[in-house]
Amino acid sequence: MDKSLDVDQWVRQWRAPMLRFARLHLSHRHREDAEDAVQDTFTAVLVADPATLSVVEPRRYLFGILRNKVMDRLRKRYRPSESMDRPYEDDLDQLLFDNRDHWLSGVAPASWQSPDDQVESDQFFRVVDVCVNNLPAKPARVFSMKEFLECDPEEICGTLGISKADYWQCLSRARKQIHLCLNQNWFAGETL
Amino acid sequence: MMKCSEYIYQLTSGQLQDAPRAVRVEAGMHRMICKYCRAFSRNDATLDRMLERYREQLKQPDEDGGEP
Repeated sequence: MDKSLDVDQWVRQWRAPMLRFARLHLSHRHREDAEDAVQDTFTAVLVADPATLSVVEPRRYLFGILRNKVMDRLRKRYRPSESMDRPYEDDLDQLLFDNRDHWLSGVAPASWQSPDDQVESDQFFRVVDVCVNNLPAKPARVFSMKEFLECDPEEICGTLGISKADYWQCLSRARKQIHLCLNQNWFAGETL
Repeated sequence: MMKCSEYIYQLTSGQLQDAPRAVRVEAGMHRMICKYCRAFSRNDATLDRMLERYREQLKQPDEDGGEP
């Protein structure tokens, strides 16, 4: 097998989606970080055993390496200085619940009704993108590590240097806000 | 008795699925009597399916073979 030909084809086919994936985690402010992570992934492929390349499923293999390259960068980014350690205070609940902890009137989203083909459209995914990008920084980081990097809670807490309680708080905030955002921007904004 | 805000926190933080049986029973009872939280729970399950598709979509190769 000619490895260089294979890698060349993989670069053509997979570079763009890998870059999208890396940029989701390594934000636009650090554009070159995402490009470096993708570059490092292909470098790792070039030095890999050719026998391995002939049997792997490219998508799983490439995104598996890329995930590790992204995680390496996130660990470096959050270890030294960036203050993720302050517990996140969720102020969204005061807009959702009354002082007896019940839903406020006209706030709770109604059941979503949407045909499957609609939620697989590019337009729908753009709305998801907007909703995720509108999250506050810390919940966004926790949410995207869990949902898109598929990290377990311990890995997320360890990488960001946050407690389990803070992790739960961030995840809850992110999910609640995404519910409201999708309800407003995709599901016609109906409430109960 | 579990209140809406606690139920929604347990659900959205991901703790509910691994919670002790007593908490899950209490949550189930709350869901039975609260139409708001019942709708939210259905939507949350839908959100999980959407995110699954979104993850898949993110990792799709470009149809034109991508940039060289």
